[in-house]
Amino acid sequence: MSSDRRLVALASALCFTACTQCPPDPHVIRAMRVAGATFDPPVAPPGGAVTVRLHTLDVEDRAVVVDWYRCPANLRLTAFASLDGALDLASVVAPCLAQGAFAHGLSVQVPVNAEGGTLDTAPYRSARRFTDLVAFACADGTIEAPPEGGTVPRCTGTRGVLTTVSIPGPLADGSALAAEPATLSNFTLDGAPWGERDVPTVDRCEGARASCVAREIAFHTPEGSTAIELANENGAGVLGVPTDATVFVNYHTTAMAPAFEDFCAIDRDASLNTGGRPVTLAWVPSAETGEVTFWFTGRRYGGGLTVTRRTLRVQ
Amino acid sequence: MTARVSLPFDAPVRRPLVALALILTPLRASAQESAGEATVRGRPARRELTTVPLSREEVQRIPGSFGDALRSIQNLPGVARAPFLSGSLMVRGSAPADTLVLVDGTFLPAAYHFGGLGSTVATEMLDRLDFYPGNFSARFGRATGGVVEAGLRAPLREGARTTLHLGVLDAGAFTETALSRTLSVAVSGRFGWVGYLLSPVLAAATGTASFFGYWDYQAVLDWHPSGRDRVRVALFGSGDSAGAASGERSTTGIGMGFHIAQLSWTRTFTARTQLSVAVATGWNGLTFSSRDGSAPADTVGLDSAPTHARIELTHGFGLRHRLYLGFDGVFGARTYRTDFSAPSRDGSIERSTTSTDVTLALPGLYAELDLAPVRGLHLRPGARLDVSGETGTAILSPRMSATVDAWRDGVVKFGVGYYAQPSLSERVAVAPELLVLANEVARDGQRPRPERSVHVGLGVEQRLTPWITLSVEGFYKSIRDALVGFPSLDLLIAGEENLGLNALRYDGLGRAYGVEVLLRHRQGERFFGWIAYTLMRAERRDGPTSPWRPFEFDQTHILTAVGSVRLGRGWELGARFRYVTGRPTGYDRTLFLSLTGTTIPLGSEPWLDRVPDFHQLDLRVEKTWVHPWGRVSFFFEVLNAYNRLNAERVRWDADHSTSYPSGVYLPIVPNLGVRGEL
Repeated sequence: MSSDRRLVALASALCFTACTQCPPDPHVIRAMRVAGATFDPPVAPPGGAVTVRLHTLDVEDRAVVVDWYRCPANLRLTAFASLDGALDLASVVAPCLAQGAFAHGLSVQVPVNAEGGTLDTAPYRSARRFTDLVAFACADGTIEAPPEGGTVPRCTGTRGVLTTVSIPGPLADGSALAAEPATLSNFTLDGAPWGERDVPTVDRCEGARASCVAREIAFHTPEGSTAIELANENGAGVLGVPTDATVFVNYHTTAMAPAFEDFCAIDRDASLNTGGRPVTLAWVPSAETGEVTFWFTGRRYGGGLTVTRRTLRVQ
Repeated sequence: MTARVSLPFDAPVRRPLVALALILTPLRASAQESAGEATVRGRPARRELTTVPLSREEVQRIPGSFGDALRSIQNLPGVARAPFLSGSLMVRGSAPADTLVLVDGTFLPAAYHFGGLGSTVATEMLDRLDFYPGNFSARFGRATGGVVEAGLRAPLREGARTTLHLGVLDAGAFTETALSRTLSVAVSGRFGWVGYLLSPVLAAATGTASFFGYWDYQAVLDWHPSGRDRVRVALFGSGDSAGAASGERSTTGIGMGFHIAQLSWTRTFTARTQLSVAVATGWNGLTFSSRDGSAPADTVGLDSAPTHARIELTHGFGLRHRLYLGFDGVFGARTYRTDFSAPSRDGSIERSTTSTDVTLALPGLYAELDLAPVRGLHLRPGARLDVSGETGTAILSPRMSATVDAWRDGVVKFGVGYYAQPSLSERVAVAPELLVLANEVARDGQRPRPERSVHVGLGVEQRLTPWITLSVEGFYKSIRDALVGFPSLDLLIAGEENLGLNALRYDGLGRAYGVEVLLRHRQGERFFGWIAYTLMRAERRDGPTSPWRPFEFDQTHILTAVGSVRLGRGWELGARFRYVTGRPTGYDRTLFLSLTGTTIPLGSEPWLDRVPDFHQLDLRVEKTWVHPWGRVSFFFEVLNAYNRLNAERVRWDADHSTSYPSGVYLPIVPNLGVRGEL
């Protein structure tokens, strides 16, 4: 450990009072967040057009306006991501923003080139063509031009989010493996079925969250989703290299964040490479009564998003 | 101008057992005198444009300052609030290391124990404490911020006195006595024991055994061989140590300290001519060590052995003019040493030992005039020449100040001056940041160079009543060749994560401007207090092509109200309220991955956000019993009386819609102690 880190460690150890606070639960939605985009058809037809719809998560269901921007070929986007405000990563998408918005709205129709997209040479990409876009979504306001010298537009409302969107096209070899949406099904709460129109009731958590009983929320993912596991030369595991069939699932909610006195008893991250297995989420109810909204998202690597909304009542 | 000597209330006058507070005021003498006071009329020269003198008694009674002299300066205008309990002085937009702290003209290597627990010089040993926030005269050099000058007390020339104090933080003793008609001595010692009290609590809470402790000592021997000579020998030193052990095999520790011996001689040749010579030498050092298992400890350390020499000749000529000629130099050596284990290319572990020496050669010459061409007008031109041995630079710093007795009890003042301070490796004070920076600076490739600054000040002082003065001063400061990207330990304590080691540059720019207001009721028999307000903007530019950004400790509004009143029968109540707008902090960035639906924290963009406003109320109550043999005082104070959660840092949720307190913050903190005087 370098001397400066040691100094940091000692400075921390000398703190008189509790100097660590739990980071806010990233699963908790407090302002509009962009979940991603869906495409119709799921795979862009060469020379055709695709309807792209941006999906937002917001319990307040605030009105969202969206501007869309085209990106040059081979932009080498480092991640399919949405980020807030100006950041170094925004410089990556600056060439997209510089061309000005070509479409507006949550749902837009986007023509694709004769090949159905462009191959990206980044190693994390599958061997698939993509049409890269950038979307700027603004909740409860309007979109204005960037400040002088800036790159990212401004949102006059409660939150502006910049998102990269990549429309999947055909595979490089021309085969037609479709990037189907990742459908999630068989939702249960503590083993009992839980449909979209059901509002199950759970007891609130009293006292420290770490001592409360977690509830099990389970759902199933499409069979056959796989990932290739690699090991380094020492035999240790590394992140799996996903294939087009890989499905990631996650959840977001509007329950309150863990109380600080619980020493960071954060709900277990449910973001998984499912491998076709059922997903079980251990969730601790809030200490306050009311309705809690969940969004369950399934994402297929290479394209394909499903967002499912469920509601629980905490009594 | 009057030098007023006051005896505290309830004090027996038979012999001078009790503490004396010596206050110098820059305005005309008051016609009022009360019992127990002797007024000496004269007109000492005002050398500094802006002076805020504090008496020892005021310092000991300010709530929330732990009776600490240097910490009390944080209540004055122009000084930004330091995070947590840090004692750092950020003066008019300058970094903490840019303000000079002197004891009788000698650098104080470490002003505070552990950066903020208490001054390394006991308040009881001080006779005066003067704070110059800017535009200081040519006798002070090697600083671009402000100057704090503490003066060790002259021991009693008759009788003896002893003081003992016992508090939550530390315990100490002070004694002074006359050894003969011409020889007297004062000795003080203090031991910080709060670490030993907290160790079991911290161990239970964190599972890590830890300790920290500190001590300091001061001794003054005063000799008056003749009516024209005064010789003084002073010794003062301090030591801090802290450590933590996790498990049986892993330990980390830090130690810092200094020892200084100072010899001074003042000779008054005539009523117009005086010579003072002072030489101080000693050692100061800082060591950090870490051990894992049975392997040898890894250590990093800094040692300095400076000698500070100061000579000043003062001569009055004409009716009201005065000339000052002086030499002010620091010489010695500094060693940066490391000894640690590092993996080599073939995977084996090797010991690496390095030692880097820097020779300190910082001579300075200065000349200053105090001209009074007409009554009520003083012009003070001066210049200083500082030489840097390491960088081979010589910097001429001209300075000019003027004061005008513009109307009854009112003074208008103006100052402008050029200031410079040595490069980081030549700083005499042992700054913990140097442990982190020394190697980084060497790799940076930029040639170290002195930081330079221009100060401009314009203000008015008005005495509203014999007891109340109002001072309003505007200031502007520009800085160039600043070291930016500086991982201040204060920022680490505040919870900032950006150490900025990769951003170190010597060509940073800075500017600060604002207005300071001080409404002060000077110490009287029953009450003293003040309201200090600063409106300020401080900025930095990390390079010639970088945009201006707020300084790490830029605080737009700083309001401090302090007061203490004696109720009678030995009871005293005091309060301090502070309201400070938030300093810049990092803006948390998160990345939401559409592929997996997860959120990744991306660290923070520095200085794009602000900490919520700080406000805090500190209360103090003291009861004193006076006996024929002496007096005993018991005090109880509460810091943060209404338990305000003043977070030094905030974290945001992934949507940047809700913030949460982070970093250390002060809860409601009681402090109590007892003091006895014999």
